[in-house]
Amino acid sequence: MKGIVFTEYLEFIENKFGYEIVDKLLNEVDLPSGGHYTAVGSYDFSELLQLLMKTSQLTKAPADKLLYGFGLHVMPVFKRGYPIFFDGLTDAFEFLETLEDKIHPQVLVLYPDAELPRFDITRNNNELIMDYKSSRAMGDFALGLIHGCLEIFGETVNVSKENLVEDGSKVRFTLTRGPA
Amino acid sequence: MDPKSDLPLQEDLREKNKMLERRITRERAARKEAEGLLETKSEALFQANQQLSSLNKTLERKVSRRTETMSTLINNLHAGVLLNDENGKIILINKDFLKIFRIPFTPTEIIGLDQRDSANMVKHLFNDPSRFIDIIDNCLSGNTDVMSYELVMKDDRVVDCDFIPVRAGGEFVGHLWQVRDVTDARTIQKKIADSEGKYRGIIENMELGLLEVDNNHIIQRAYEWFCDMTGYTEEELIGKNAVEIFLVKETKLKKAMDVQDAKRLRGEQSIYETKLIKKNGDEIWVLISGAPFYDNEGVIVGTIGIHYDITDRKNLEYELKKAKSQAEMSREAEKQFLANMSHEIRNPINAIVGMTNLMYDTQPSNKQLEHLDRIKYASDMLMGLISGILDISKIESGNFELVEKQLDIREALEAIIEIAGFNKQVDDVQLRLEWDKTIDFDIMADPTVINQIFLNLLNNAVKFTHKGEIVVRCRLLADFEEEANLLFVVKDTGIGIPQEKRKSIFESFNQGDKETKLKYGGTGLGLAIVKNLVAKYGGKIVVDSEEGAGSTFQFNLHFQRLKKRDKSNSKKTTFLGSKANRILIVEDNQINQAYLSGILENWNIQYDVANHGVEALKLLEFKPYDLVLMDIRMPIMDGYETTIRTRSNHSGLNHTVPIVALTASALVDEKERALAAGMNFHLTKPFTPDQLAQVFKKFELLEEFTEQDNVPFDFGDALDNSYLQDFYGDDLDRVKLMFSIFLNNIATEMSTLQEQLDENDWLNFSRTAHKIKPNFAMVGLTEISELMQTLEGVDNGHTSSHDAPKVLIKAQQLFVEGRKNVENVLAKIEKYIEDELYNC
Repeated sequence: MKGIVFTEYLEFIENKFGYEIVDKLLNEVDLPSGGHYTAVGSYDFSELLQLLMKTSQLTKAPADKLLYGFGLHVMPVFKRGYPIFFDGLTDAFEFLETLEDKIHPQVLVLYPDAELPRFDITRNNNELIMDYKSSRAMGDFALGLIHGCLEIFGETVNVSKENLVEDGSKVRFTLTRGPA
Repeated sequence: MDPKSDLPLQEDLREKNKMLERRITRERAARKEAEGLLETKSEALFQANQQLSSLNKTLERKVSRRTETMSTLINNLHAGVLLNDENGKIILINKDFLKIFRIPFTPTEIIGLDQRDSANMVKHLFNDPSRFIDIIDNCLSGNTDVMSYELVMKDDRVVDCDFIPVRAGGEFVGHLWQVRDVTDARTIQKKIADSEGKYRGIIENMELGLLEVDNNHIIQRAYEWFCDMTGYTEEELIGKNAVEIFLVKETKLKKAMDVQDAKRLRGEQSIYETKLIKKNGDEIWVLISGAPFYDNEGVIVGTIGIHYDITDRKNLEYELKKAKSQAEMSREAEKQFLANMSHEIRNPINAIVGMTNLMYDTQPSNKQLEHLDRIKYASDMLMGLISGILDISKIESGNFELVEKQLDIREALEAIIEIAGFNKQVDDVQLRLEWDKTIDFDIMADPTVINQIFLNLLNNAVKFTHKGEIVVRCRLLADFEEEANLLFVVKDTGIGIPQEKRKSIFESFNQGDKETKLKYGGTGLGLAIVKNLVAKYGGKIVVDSEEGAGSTFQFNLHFQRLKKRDKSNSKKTTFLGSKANRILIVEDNQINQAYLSGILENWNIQYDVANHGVEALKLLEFKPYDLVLMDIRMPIMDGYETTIRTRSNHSGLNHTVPIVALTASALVDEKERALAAGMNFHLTKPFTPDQLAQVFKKFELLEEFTEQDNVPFDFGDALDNSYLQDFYGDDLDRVKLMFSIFLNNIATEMSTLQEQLDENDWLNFSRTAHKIKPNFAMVGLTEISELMQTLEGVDNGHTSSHDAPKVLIKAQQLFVEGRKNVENVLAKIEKYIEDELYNC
């Protein structure tokens, strides 16, 4: 998993709970990498899960809420880091629709070893159905990202999340725009 | 500061310090890791850069090579090429382009210029500069292909242009211009068109109508003259079915057209005639030369027909045919007239000649003989004249047939010279034959022809020679074993023939001159006949003459040669018996009747005489005949009809009897008509007894015994050897048959004779004796045969019935012995035949 996920996660935890929690996490979780993450490195996904579990334990905040919050946190970071993906786009649906066609292929160009989730996207006027599929079952992170994206475009859209399988590896997000 | 209260604060600060230290340590570690990663990345980046740069070089080389290839290709393309970008800037141009438009710059100088500017530079080269500019503008602003646009230049050259908009990735990036100088091609096309026009003009002027149809007769093109010929316009014809429009509805013509269609599909061309219907309904005859034509793949797609109006020719042909048939009818009438004439004149002469011949057999006194000779001579002459006229017409009409037989040419010439000698008016003229002794063979020839040739020549010679000699010379020119070529010369010492007449004397009715005709008479046919007859035997006659000194006729004749016949034998012809029981003579002329009956009586042949066809049919109804001698022209019913009636009576007794036509005319027509009516043979009157005998032999009604070279079978002394040899000759098969029949039947007959004697049945006794009399003769028991003749006479009192038993006993005694002899001889013959077979 890309190092930026780890550095941003620690950034998110520091913003949310202070560096003390970050310090505890790094002191108390036995991380094979030693925890000195950099955005340009790559680290094992399990370390993120270890950190997430420990955070939840230390802060008493549920893991899904943490992931959702992390998604919400990351979206503006992306916007700042990769403004090109937002150029010329006027609303969130347009952006989300480019996910599989533009953003993920570009990611793969830069990081050929990146393991990306798969989205099947169907658009019906004011409704956008996004079927998420990933062995990492990070549907809540995705939900956070979707909401973050809506915030960026300043839109109010009803988003429903439905697990298509129990383990959360397939999830359907239905975005419905209310009457204008 | 309260140390107690300071203590936790210090502790807290110390903790915070420691946490910050840890954080710094972590951040440093992270920085170090990041630096390490970056260093690795930058190294990888450097490697990648290196690879990229080398790849770039390879690509540059490839691009440069390809560009080079492209530009060589474009420069060598036999077409001018120009490429401009979307802004109208020229980015590529080849030399041909500059050459075609005669632009005095190099490609490098042109590249980069504006297309419109350069167009303005060259517009003066075109016939219509403003049109050229318009075209360029249209092409540059339009995005559609413009293909094969022809521009004509001031110097008459024609340039063919293609303007193709070029797109890359769906975007318009410029135009490709391709230009070709097609002046030569246009010139050739124009020449072809001119030439086609020229030939079409010629064809049209030749009054030949051309029509093109496809394989289903649908008209594709009709040329002007064809339209004129048929009265249609081309518009009216195109798309129509030519057969339906033009062809006369005659099955014969339709079939002929089908034949032509089949030929055309096989790729054959042909010429034929047919009738066409014009628009106005008139019919015209045309001669059509039809030929298939092909598409580019060589498949037959239709027919081109050249029509020539031959209506006038056809009409003329029809008139000619009519005239020809009229002429033929006239000729037929003429022939009929000649045949009739021949009959009318020859019949009486036949009678005279025939009767004269018979008179010679009546032991005439010397005085009478002299008269007979005169009659014969005169009638022969008359016959000759008639024959001459008939012959010349026969020869000239091609109806002349050679009747050849074995001929001793020397003997024949001697006889002719003798006859010609009778015509001598003065004794000062000597006739003689000079003979080439190497001619020791007979020839196959028509004696009449030989007679005609030499008699004509000799009669002329005799006529015109008053003193000196007439020589007939014969020499062997060439001997080919089977055939021989003989040279004949007839030379006289007569008045000669004037130079200017020598050629024309061989023409019909052309004599030396009028004076000659007045002085010497004659028909003027003789030499014409001679010339024709000589030609019949593959020869040619020439004349050499000196006026007042004589003439020499020289000619050669080509004959089939035969071994010389033994004269001593051939003269000794005897007729030993006839198988014919009864002959019917149908002849209206009483003298001819007498002539025929005289001959038949000599031969011991029984006959009946009918004066015409109706009488003949009555006789034929009840009596079986072996032969009918039928005259053709008779009152009441002629020979043809009589023959047809006889042949058509299928159940009649004489349905198949041989019928010999006796024709007075020598015309082939008459002979053919006789055969067509159902007659078996024909004999031209007058005929000699010998000729009649040949006919009888032909029908196996007469047995001729001629002494042969081969040794006859020796029957031994027990039987009448000489009688048997005469009777059977070497026909041993027949001997065997007759002997067998005799042995089978004779015993019964002898007992019958005995019984009839015992009963004193003299009538039947006599008949039986008569009947079996020849049977004994036939097996050589001549003595018994004579005894039977004696016994036969009992009935009519020639022999006393008192003597009969004695005679019969004698006969029976002889018979016992004779029968044994007959049996022995038969056995001997059978053995002989077997040996002969074995030897073969």
